[in-house]
Amino acid sequence: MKHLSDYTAQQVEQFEAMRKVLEELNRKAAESGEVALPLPYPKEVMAHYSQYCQIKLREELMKEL
Amino acid sequence: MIDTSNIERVAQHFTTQVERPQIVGRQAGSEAKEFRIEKLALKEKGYPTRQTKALVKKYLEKNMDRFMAQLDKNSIIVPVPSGSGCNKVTEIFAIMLHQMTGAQLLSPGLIAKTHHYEAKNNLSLEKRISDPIGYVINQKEFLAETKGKTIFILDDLIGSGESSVKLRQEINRAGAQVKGFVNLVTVEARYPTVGDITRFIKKIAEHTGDAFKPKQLSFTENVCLTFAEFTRQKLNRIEREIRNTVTATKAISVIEAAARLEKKILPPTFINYETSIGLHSTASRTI
Repeated sequence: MKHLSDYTAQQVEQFEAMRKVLEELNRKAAESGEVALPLPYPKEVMAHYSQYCQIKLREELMKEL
Repeated sequence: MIDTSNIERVAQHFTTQVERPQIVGRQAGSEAKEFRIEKLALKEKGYPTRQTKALVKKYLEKNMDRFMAQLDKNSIIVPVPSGSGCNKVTEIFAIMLHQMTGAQLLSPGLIAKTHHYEAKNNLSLEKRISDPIGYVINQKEFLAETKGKTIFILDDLIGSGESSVKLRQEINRAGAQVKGFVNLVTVEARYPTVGDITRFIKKIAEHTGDAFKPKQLSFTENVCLTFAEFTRQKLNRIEREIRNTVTATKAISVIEAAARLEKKILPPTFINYETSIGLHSTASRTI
């Protein structure tokens, strides 16, 4: 199982930058009803990002709950 | 007047052959709207944990008897990955359900989401086709963790069921079976019946007349491919839009595009995709 500590600082920085971009796109999609295309990142990158987010969220919540 | 016996036969075949996991939660009714409002308010504050946990607890208690009846230590909960990774509702729901029922919780990151938008109730079928939902699974580790367990896909809310169904399809491709869908709020707990599908096609035929007849059988198959595995909400949404020949004709082309998507062989980038962290898609799916 992968852990947050397995990511380098540079990877974390890149993923957090992606988060901001995607949150903004989702916000606009929610307002307009339009999906923003083309996607800003290839699907392979989206998959890595998704994995990072899940691991980060689970570890944070397990400490808090 | 169209002959509905063929439609009913095709619809009967699809509705009995497709996988339709049990939807465990009870139909929420007007509570669904209330939940969405409360969730949005929390989202705007960045999902503070204490308040989000309180929201989850409130709705969890409404379905606890159903969850306890289905989930135990021989079960495993598979949360649907969230869009931006910050939907704490689903994750907190998963953790609390795991703690209350003893069901195992799938390790994070074994399933990755590859599409962009978060499932929105204001996005039409046409717009969803432009960015289809996709997941990739670390097949080896996923099968190892779920071996011998009854799998339940978990999401905070189920409407059309698109997120859960697409994940179920990918899990099937990985070689596992899903028993049920577990949701904090269930907007629609029913799948389309033969009657629903027949009524829908009759409505299309009424608005398009003789032009429709030659296409009837293939269109019935396309309707089933597009809607049979999802909850009734997906069908109802598009049915509401059909008011005249123009909207009926548009619905036909949207459904044909959606059906092609359901039948599509995955492109090589998915089939051969592997990374150093072990994510890869499973075998292609054809009908």
